[in-house]
Amino acid sequence: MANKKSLDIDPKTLVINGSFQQILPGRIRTHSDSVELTKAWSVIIPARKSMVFITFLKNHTTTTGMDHLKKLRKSQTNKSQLQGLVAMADEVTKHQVFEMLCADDEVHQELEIHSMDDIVEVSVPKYPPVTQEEAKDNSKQYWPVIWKGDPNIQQLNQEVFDMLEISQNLRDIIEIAKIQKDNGELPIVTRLYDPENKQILATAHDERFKHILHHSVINCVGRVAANEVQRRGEEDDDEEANNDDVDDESSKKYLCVGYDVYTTHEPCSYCCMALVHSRIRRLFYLKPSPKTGAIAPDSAKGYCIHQSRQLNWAFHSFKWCDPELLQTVPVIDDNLFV
Amino acid sequence: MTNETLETHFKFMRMALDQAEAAHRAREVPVGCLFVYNNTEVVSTGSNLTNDTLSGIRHAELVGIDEILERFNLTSSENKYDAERQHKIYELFSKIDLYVTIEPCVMCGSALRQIGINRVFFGAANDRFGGNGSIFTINHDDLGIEHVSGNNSCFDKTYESYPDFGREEAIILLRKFYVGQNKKAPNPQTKEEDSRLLRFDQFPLMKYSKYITKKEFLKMYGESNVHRWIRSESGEDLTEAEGMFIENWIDPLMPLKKEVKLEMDEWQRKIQEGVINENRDHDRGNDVKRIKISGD
Repeated sequence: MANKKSLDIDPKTLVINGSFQQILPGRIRTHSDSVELTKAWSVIIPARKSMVFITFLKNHTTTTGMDHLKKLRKSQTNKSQLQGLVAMADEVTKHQVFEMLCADDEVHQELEIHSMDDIVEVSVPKYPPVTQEEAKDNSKQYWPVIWKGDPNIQQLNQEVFDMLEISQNLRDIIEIAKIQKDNGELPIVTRLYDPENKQILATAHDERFKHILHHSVINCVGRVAANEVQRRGEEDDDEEANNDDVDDESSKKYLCVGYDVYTTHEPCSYCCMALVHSRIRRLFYLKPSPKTGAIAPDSAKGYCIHQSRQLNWAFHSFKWCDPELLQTVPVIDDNLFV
Repeated sequence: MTNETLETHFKFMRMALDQAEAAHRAREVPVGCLFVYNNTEVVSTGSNLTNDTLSGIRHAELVGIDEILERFNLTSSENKYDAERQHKIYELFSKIDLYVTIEPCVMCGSALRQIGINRVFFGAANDRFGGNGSIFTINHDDLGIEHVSGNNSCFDKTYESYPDFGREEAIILLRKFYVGQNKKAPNPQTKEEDSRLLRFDQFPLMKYSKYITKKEFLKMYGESNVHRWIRSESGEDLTEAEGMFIENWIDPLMPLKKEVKLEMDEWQRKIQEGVINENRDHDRGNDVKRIKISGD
């Protein structure tokens, strides 16, 4: 039985219950001091005009990714001045910031913004701090950050992790992968699972030698869709037979919403994006794919497709860490798109 | 690829747009594509089938690829590695260009490099899922894959992807679709107010440098179109005269553009009269004039 309260999360490594690690961009660190920095635009303003600046920020939603940063700090050189954070430099140019500030006469006069030179580049932590200690460190070294507890950990605590169910699913796909290997096929296996109803929806292996693009994840997603098409067809027949007029939208499944995916190897960009399109809930994988994987920050180009801010869907991803189980997963060539 | 002209690219894109229109009539997300062998022969077509199949991954490109594999007998009922067949697949796709009305998404962008497509030509940028420059540059990224033959059959080929062929037409089709339909999607995780929302009477600017280098641009679109690149970099819109794709040459899509303008006027009239409101997407509660482009 799942036990929510006993969830044990290491805030630094994000290892959960000592068994699997949450994969999150910017969060997997080998050294606690290697904080990823990014550039932002700031302005120096008269200290007594802080309200004008805050009002300006409220009226202009500038960029995303600033929520963990305080908007004002004391000027390092002049006590009667403050330094205000306007926008992230990866989203807008210096010129755009200047234009934004100048759009309102009152704002740029009161804040004493006269030229582009008044916009100053600063280095700020790219991601929210992971611990209170780190928040203090960041604030001292780079730019003051806000610490409200770790929202990621709060979110994880809402999730149910049934350890028995997770390890059983993983053991199952490993066993199938071994059989695949013995058959001379690629030992990559994926399972789609409905954690709510404790139901296996599809288990599929890699079939790229039948069809070059039939990776195991794609096969699984395809099978779930085909099953739903069939189910609705049968339902329609039943309805016709019963002359029942009820069109129950809630009984219709939408893609893979709410489902978990278990897979033997970290999926490639093709498969990860298929999971985004399918709106899955969580991904559990066993072996990393350093050259072709699209989940872990240190795989391939570090796409982290499951947590991209720009895509319209995100899902949790977890990598199994128990070396004993990992040893039993068949090895594949690093150059393969999984 | 002899005698390649911009005109041929537009001609093929016109056919891809026809596929997108057919998809729209079938109440599918209106994205269409065309695969062309050796710059002359159409080997397959595809359009989005996500609604009919209840599968979020039946995108036009994958449908078109399936058709090619079937047609040239490049699939097998047995899951056994066949070096000759693998080789044939790569050989074939190395001579095939894809014309698709919307920039391939990350998924399709990746599939295309895994089968070794020659080049891609697309209409509008895909700001939500684009894998050829808009969000990720899946088509360009060097992953350091070594080609290994044998049971592992590793293959990878980067490719160029050229934007802005029939862009406005592609956008209008999507816009028509999103005004009335897609009530199936639950609220997607998107920012409420952002640049992805399109004004009804305007098109987003095409930023060429996200997709190709200046050198590639000039080679593909010609020196006479250099003003397009300059305007694109400065963020300014083209004037009407500049909007003609090539001087002294009539853009084969121009007649369509006129139709499109008429149609837009018609739609705007309908919106004012409240006719279109009936089809409004209640789930999203969007202002009718603000429509999301692309997506599923």
